[in-house]
Amino acid sequence: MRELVVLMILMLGGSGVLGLYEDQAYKFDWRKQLIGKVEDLEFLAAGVDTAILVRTQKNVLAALDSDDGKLLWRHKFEDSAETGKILAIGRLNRNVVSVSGSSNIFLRLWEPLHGALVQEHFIKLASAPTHAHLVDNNLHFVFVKPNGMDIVTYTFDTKKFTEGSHKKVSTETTEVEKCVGLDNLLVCSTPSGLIYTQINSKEPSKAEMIPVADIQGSTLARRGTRIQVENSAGSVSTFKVENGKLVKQADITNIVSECPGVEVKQECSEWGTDSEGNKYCAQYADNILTRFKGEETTVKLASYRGKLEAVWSECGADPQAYQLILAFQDGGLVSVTPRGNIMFTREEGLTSVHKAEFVNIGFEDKSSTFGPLYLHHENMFDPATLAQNFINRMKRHILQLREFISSLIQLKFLEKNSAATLDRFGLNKMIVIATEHNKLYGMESISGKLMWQLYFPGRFTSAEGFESKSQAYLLIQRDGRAGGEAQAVLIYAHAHSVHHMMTFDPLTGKMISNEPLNMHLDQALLLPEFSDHEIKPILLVGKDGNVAVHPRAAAECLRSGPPLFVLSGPTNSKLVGSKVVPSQEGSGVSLVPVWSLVTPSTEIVSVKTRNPIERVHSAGRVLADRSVLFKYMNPNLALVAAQGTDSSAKLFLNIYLLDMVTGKVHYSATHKKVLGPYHTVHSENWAVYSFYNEKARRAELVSLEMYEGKTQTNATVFSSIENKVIPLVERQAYILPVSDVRALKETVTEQGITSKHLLIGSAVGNVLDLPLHLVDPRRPPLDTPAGMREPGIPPYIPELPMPHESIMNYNQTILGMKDILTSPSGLESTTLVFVHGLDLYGTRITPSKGFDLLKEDFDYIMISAVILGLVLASYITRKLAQKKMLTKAWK
Amino acid sequence: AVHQELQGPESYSGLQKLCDKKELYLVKLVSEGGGGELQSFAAPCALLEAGLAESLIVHLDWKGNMIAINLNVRSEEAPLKGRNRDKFDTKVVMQSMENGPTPDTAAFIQKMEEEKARKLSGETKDNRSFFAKYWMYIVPVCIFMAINSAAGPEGGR
Repeated sequence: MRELVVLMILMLGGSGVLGLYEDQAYKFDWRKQLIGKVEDLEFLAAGVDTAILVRTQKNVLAALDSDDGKLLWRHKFEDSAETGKILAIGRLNRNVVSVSGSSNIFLRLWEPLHGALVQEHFIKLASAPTHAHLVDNNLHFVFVKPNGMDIVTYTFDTKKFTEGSHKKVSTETTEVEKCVGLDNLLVCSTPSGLIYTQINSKEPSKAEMIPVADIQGSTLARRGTRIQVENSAGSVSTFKVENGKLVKQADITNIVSECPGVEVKQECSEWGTDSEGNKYCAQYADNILTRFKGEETTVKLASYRGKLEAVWSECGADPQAYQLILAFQDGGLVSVTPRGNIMFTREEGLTSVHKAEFVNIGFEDKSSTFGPLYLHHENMFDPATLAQNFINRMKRHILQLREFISSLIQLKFLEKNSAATLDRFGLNKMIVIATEHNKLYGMESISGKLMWQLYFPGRFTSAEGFESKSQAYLLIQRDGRAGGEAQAVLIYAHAHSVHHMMTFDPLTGKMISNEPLNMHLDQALLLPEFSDHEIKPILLVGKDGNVAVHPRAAAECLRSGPPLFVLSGPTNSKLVGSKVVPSQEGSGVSLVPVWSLVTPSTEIVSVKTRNPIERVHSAGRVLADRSVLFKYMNPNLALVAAQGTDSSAKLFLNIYLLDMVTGKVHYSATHKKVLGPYHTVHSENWAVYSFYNEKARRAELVSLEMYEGKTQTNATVFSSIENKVIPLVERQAYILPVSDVRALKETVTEQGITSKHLLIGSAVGNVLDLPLHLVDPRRPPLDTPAGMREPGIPPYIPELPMPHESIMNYNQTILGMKDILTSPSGLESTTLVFVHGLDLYGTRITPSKGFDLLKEDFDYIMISAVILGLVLASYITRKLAQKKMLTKAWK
Repeated sequence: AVHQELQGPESYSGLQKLCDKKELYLVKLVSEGGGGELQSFAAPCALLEAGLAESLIVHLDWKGNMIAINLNVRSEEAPLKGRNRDKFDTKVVMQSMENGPTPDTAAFIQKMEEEKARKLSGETKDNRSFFAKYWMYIVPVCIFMAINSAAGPEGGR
């Protein structure tokens, strides 16, 4: 037992205490709490202020302050649409009502001020309803059947829940797209028009039909006392209830709001035609027009947000005072006053991050650079280059000194430079985010502040898994560190056209160009930087095997450079490695398939390669007997995970360690009876992957490490083709302390000296910061004597610990976590971390503690006082000593 | 069973050409059941140097399906076989997939149980000598006494 206690102490001591002090909370990190793209909105009078109740695409029920848009409370329901989807929201007396689920329905009543649950009712339905509709204390479910519609009505209050009436409605058509309720009418859209019926009469009836030409059924919405639906030409048809009948009003081009007389209009400034000849709006007007009693007001939006999708409004007692809330295509929620001023803006598109990248801002002031900061490394030791570098550097320093002195003279050194704060330690980077709601954002990693945003007309289908990742590519061609303009490329599927390539500056968000690619894109790859080219070229691979290099001049580099191999996945169960062959003249490039991996009846779920910016500091590790075990560090290695179903309909997971150049399989293993999600990480000479073990009902993490052996073959250059080493693969499995892993990532630092940590994000919303040596596959058995143990590796315990102080985000829960991003900072000890999901969270962590940082509470005054005191003391004692010598000499 | 089709002297000159042009020597494995093709490659120059000695590793998954082939040059055997051979010397190795590791809970539980049993049966006998057990208490006392005795006479003087 004592041994165990010692072991625990060892483990804690070895990993170091990672927690924060209380006063350090919120100091290095920030969190943004978001709700998702708003689907439905309702104004509530909660206490003195009005609040806004919303339901969103992310299954969130939330209340916002109507004045500043701040989150009052929110509840995130289950992720899956089957249990968590919110069907309807409403009000009942003093409470808020939500209806969620599909065939198992939860009707919940909430307290509107704080979001406390008042009552929950459970309804089990035979099948999922097509539509749910709340009118006061009545809940109507609509089931669309082949011969008509069934309407089931329930009555509820804060205590009871009673089943009410059934009603059958016969319809002419069965293709019902969307239904909305307006008082006692149920209105549904069909391909040929609208149908409507009375909802609370009990006797069977026939739905009445109002034909609407070119109807876009999904735009059917209720606005106050009217029903509106758009058609494909862009105009809006509105309907009103008169004596229990739906009456068509005049067609208008505006969107009407719930307040009488308030109309909102977004004009189309540029029309486009897609390949099938259909007209669509390519560019909407920058400004929104609101019309109230014949008076038009312009609402100026700070940035372009795409199509105005929905408008809600709240009218006060005073008819002049109303509040408009506009929901845009990019997920933005903008609140507007009658004078056209913006009250608040919420960027809810950030809840659906598709791709995100860290971009270095750079250390140098852009105004005082002398060409590129780093010259090419090719002929670094050439005397002429060295001299040039030295002169450049001296010039720079002199200029900096001059600037400093001039700023000192003008007493301006206290002024902060606001434009993308330059920090000398690279602790601030730009996070470039591409969302699924067609928006690019630039966000400061140190504060989470949005610096710029850019709209792109992309298209995202809701495909899951490996395929969906290839819908948009965000590639950073050059960051701000290299001097000159930074450049990045977003390749996306255009909503009405082929793939487009948008070139922009990732630091300022300035669009440089946006051009169609003229090919059916299969994948886009960022090629390594070629020495005589300042930006990283992009290789575009078409579905038909066509290949292009962008920029075209880079094809020359391909010809002279080392041979290049790329990976493509023509199907879900096949990987093909191809050699990139540039044609002898011109800029043509073709692919020659050279190896293949076929995993019959399985689906490849992930291919994880090493982070290309990663550096490895040590080439081996010291064993207990003081000999060195050399790491097998193959930069071309990838961890491939494939999932399949066995004969008993259980899932299994196949894992391959694959050389992406030669297609050599260095390790392959299978895990049976598993469940997703699968997460893989590959770095240096190790790889870890996690999955859920269905048999043992726990999440497991398998750790692999590759070693060359006791001798090293080639210490300077690695070539996959020439290297004949068959690596030893060490492996070990561990039980994870979290059962639902959402994200797995390793820390990465500038030089790779700092020890590595694993970041494990759980569904609960915390991120565990686990030192990598705890998942070392070489952890010895418990009974190994102390002398035989390798330094720094604790004995094997199958369960991994989860000390509370090593939870990176302490008490700041990150809801709906999707992925973790890490990036090195300019300081070797520090890694920047960005976590996204429903919430966004940014922090920095120091895996080996801040060995190159001064402590937070470092006493600058004390140390200066001591130095000053010492200087003074030495001066005084010198005087005294001189005096003493003099008197001695006189004696 | 794997059926090998080897080409004779003609392919040798072909290989030479590939080597001169710095291209790759590709191999394709076509399964007779129509299960698809598998590809691999080797550097032709290395292959020529090794005297056409190669090994073909066929990777199988746990169901026995072929998933990949890897062609390797057996360069370590080159001096033995002699150069400029006209015939391929191919070794075929089948490699099957292994079962992934599982957490070794059994050993850990056993260890814990042993520990428990030992505790129940009474504390383990400490058969070290008296001095070995309590040296940490004896040594400071000795030092303290030594200092006292050294300081004592001086103070008396």
